[in-house]
Amino acid sequence: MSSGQVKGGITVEDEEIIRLYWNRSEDAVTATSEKYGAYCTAIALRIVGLLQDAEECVSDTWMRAWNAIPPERPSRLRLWLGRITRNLSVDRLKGLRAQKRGGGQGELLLSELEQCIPAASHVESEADDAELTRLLNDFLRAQRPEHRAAFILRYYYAEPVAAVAKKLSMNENTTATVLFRMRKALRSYLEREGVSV
Amino acid sequence: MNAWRLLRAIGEIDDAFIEQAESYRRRRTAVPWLAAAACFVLVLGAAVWRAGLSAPPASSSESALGLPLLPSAVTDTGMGFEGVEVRSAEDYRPLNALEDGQELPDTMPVYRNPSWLSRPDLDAMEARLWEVAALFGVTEGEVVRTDNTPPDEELEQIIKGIEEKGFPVSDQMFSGSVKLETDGLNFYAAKSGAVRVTMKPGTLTYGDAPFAPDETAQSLLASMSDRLGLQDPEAVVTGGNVDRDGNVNYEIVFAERSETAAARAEERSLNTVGFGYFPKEESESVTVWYNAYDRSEKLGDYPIITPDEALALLENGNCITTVPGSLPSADDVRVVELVYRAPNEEVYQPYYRFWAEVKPEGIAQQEGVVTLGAYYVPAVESQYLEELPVWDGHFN
Repeated sequence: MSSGQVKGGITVEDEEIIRLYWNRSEDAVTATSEKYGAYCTAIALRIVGLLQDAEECVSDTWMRAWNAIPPERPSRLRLWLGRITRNLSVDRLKGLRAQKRGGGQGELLLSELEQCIPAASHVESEADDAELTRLLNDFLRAQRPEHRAAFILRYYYAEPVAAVAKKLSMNENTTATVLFRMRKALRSYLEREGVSV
Repeated sequence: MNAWRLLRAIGEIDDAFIEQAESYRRRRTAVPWLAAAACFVLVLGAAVWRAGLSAPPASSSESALGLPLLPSAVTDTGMGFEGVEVRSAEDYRPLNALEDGQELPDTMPVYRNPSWLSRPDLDAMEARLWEVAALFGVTEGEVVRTDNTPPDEELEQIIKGIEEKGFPVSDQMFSGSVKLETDGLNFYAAKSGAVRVTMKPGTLTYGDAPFAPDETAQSLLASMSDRLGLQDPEAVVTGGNVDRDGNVNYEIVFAERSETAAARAEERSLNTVGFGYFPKEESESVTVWYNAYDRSEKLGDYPIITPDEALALLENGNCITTVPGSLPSADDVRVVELVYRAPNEEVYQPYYRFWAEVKPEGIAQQEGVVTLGAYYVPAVESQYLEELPVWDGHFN
């Protein structure tokens, strides 16, 4: 399937898919799955590590989309779907962990992100979700684009370090160092803001 | 402690960051954010020089308030680093220092630099030269106009080559001048809008500079007041650098008198008459710079951050500096100023300039002096900037 023509930030095909959702046509799910199935499955699989669970996350994504559109009309359908899959996969990883299952990048991400958690002595208050997102956005905005891209590919898309390095044309060791420094910087930043995570 | 919450929260970050990360391609350069900035200005410059049309806005992207996002700052400082060696930090005389608790406005104006990465506008330069010449009673003479910028086709090739290598395109590639030589007075107009006047020392009355800079400033003001092209000039003595002979050097700047720190930042950075060198011999000449940068293309009034917020950014490494070595801490900062950086930027935007006591790596320090290094943090709120500058330890 072609990627479609760009028209005002939304591809024509995406517009068509969204129209199908608005018309409550079940073809909407088929079209979404054809176009974005691979993309969403890759995200889910990287996080949860088990194909069956990943496929369930993707099916749940289509279900969420069906329930959300209308009234929603996402302007960037791919990113919108990817975000749902990504977050459903993180939630599922939590369940899998309790059952001592799973084995994707998710486990590694968690242990890496532990290094970003401020020490209790620096904490003044617990940030709510919106506040935490705002802080993360501010932190990322202040980073070099290259470093920000590495952080997002690793901790949003759960890409293995080697894949991040390849995508950014960087040496793998350099990428690991960049990520290490960013984790340290994020921890200092959260400590300075005095929030608990 | 909860890595889960963090992992979940990362799932809610801005779409724009995710899109950028997906499409990010690393450029082969030691300073990637510079290259990104150069890439952007290249497009802008190309449009201006090729078509000769009215210039586009500084950026195609807009912030929430409809103000154009400001392009990344480009350091174009050449060799060396910006710093002064002073006998003590208190001896440094700033251009526009901020006092503790000084009130600042919510917004400050930002202007597009119309000469940035564009062919020299020789007509505009000549007009500016005659304005300054008229202050000295010179109204006729033969001017020499030079455009040193390569022909369009060649320029296109050069820029393409630079772009392929991932290096920033320098504004210095687009150079030209207009000159006028008369008996005893020489005028030189640069592309930036600055005009240099060179004259024999006897033309001016200056005292025992550089050792008595304030007296010198006042006597210059008296003898030059009708030749400054300013309505209500005030003299500002800045600097205090101790040279290798032990002399203390200052720069004397005249600018429109202003009541507020924000207005002073603008006047003392973008519209000055400056004296930087005081000849010891009668045979040497005096040079005066008329630095009136074009403020006709205002991009808007941009919300600014406080000095404390800027200091936090400095400590975070979000600054522009040419000082080698590690970043200073807040405790090392001796002076905070509010200035514009002109003309080596695509837009004239305000900065907090922090002077911090430093020990620059690899540079021998004189006995009995301290070195103050300059660190610039954009004063405009970061949401109005395409990128916050990021210090990466790079040194010229």
